[in-house]
Amino acid sequence: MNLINPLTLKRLVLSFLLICLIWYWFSGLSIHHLYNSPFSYKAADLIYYLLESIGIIQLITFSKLSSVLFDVLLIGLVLYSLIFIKNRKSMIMTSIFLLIYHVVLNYKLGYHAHHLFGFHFALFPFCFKNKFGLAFNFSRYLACLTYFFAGFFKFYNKAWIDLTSFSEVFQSQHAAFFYFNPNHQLYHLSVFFQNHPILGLLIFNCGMFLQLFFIVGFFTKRFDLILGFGILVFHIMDWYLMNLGIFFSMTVLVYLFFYSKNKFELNDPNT
Amino acid sequence: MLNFWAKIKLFKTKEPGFFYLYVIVFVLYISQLALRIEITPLGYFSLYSNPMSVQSFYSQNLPFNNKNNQAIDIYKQSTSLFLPLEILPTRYENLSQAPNDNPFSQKLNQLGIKLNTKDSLEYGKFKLWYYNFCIQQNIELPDYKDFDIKHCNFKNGQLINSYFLK
Repeated sequence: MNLINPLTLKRLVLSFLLICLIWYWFSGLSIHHLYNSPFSYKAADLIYYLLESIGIIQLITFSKLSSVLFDVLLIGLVLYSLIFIKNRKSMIMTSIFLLIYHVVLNYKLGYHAHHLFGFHFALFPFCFKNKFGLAFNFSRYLACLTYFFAGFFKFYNKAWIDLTSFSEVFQSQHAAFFYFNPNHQLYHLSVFFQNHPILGLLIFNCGMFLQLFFIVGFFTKRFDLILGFGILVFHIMDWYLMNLGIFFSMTVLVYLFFYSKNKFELNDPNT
Repeated sequence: MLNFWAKIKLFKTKEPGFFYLYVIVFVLYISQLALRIEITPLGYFSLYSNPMSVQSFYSQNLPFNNKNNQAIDIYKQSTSLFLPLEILPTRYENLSQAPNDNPFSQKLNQLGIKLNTKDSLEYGKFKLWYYNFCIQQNIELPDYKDFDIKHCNFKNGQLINSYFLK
């Protein structure tokens, strides 16, 4: 399977990142929207304590101007990396800025969301010179690890054997949305799940077993097409059913599975 | 055919940088699992993992117009703007009720790490900031004197009751 070369791949990943960052901008999820929020939430995460102690978070959130500057710089870096596609240093800077965006956003949102992982893993292979194949495999393993553990926690916490759990989660997730949109198709779906909880549980279990299936990715690449399509279907369903549109950023990881059988060392995007 | 350990040894010799990267990630992942706490951004996706028993109502914190006694619709926008509008008041309630404004405070204490931060989240301060955030995002709001954030309980698309946040 050698449909596109790594440079095209890099362009696609960066374009997708750019679209998502613009989407976040218009969704109130840029740093300049939240820079002065009363939250400074670090949970137990050492990276948050580290970035706060060296003053990076304070510098970015110092004023509206500094936070706008950071947001513009991040988008500008992605654009620069897209235009100068062979420039590896700008790619590394983009990855670092994206990690800082991830930390500062969660710090000021008061919630440590994980949806930006997809971009970190997806950009990682493009940060290396002559090591693209190795870094690609590393990111692929991280993606497998992430999805497998998501399935493992669902399995371990036993939501999958509780008949009414999914229909309850579904109602809870959309409680206020149903109040404002009583005729929306999701409301009718919720009523359907209340009347047929076993079908809701079936959807939940399909998602869980799909995530658990990612364990095979550690041993073979034979099922990578299934895993790639699995990611796509999982996040489309997640968006439609649970309204978790921002988690769609994880779909960028599909390239790690659709493209995993190539010999990259001969096709390094930075050389 | 090399066996598994021979392959690992060869990988360590040929690519020590990547070998130790794998080791670091593996150790971090396992230690986070053992400690049951996320100490790096390389955390766990565990959304919807816990079973949810049948509820008599479902709660959501929402901006509220006291003048007409109505919750304010945050779902009119065409982007994902409703997400921060949902998350922020919910997180305010969770964090402000936790010691040191951090639900992990007790867990960190058990691990021997004492937080020196004080409880600094105040409702008045949060409400004013959230009001301005909504205004900047073009959400239609009443005058500030008529504005509040309320804990609303819903059932089957109906608002059952609502309470002021503290």
